[in-house]
Amino acid sequence: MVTLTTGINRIRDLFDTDIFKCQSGTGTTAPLPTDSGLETADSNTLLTPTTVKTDKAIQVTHTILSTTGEDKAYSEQEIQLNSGSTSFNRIVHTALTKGSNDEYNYITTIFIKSA
Amino acid sequence: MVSGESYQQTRDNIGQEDNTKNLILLGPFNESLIVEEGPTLLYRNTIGSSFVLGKSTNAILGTTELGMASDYVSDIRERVVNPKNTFHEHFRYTTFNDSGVTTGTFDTTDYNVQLDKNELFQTQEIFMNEQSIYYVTPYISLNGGSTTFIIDGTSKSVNIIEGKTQNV
Repeated sequence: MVTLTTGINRIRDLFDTDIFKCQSGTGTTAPLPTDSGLETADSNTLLTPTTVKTDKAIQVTHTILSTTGEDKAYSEQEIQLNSGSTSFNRIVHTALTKGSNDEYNYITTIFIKSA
Repeated sequence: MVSGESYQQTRDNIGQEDNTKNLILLGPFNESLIVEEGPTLLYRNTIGSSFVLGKSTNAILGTTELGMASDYVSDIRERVVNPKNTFHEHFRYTTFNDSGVTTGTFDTTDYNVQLDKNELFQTQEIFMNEQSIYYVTPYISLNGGSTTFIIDGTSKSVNIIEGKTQNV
């Protein structure tokens, strides 16, 4: 038995369909698998991402325009699934203060593969 | 003698029992589907004096350049976060390919980079956070010749020759 590439790409497509929005925040604690979402979310950054699919992979881009989040020190970000009821991941990075002229873009790549 | 599915035992009154294990690997042999979270890149654009509707300092018609201004700067890479501090290039996207340096063929159809003689492949920054890089493990399929890896920011390099193991 072998899992077909078409089957894996179907899972990728279902994941893509389930992506709801992305959000950033200012929490700084280290991420744990038991987290349920961001530590300190900024709802102004709750935005619909764009996705680009390729073979067994998907890339999610979350853009925060210059008109949002001025002077916020963003340090965490998530992808939300299932109409926002489920957080897929939580990324924590060194804080970066958003200046008045800054547009932020988070690009996360997710791979699905058989082994 | 007691024989089982995964082991055998021999008992007698001489010496200790035989704990010899079968050398046959028993099933089940599962095929796993893995969801691998890849790197997250945070990059910044600065809009400069570009016209942005709704932005008080940039939405004044007649005093700023309409649309994307000449002082707009894109793709200022600020952070790269890797789950488990491991970067894995799958060659699906060119996000981390430094196209200004790479002269080889970054192939998102066959998912590899093809290097001819004297051609280069260089990534963009693949770690930009607080972690340190401890080691790099390139997996290479060589078709003759050799390839040298240079680890930027250090004096270290490694020459990869087909059929030989080289350490830094």
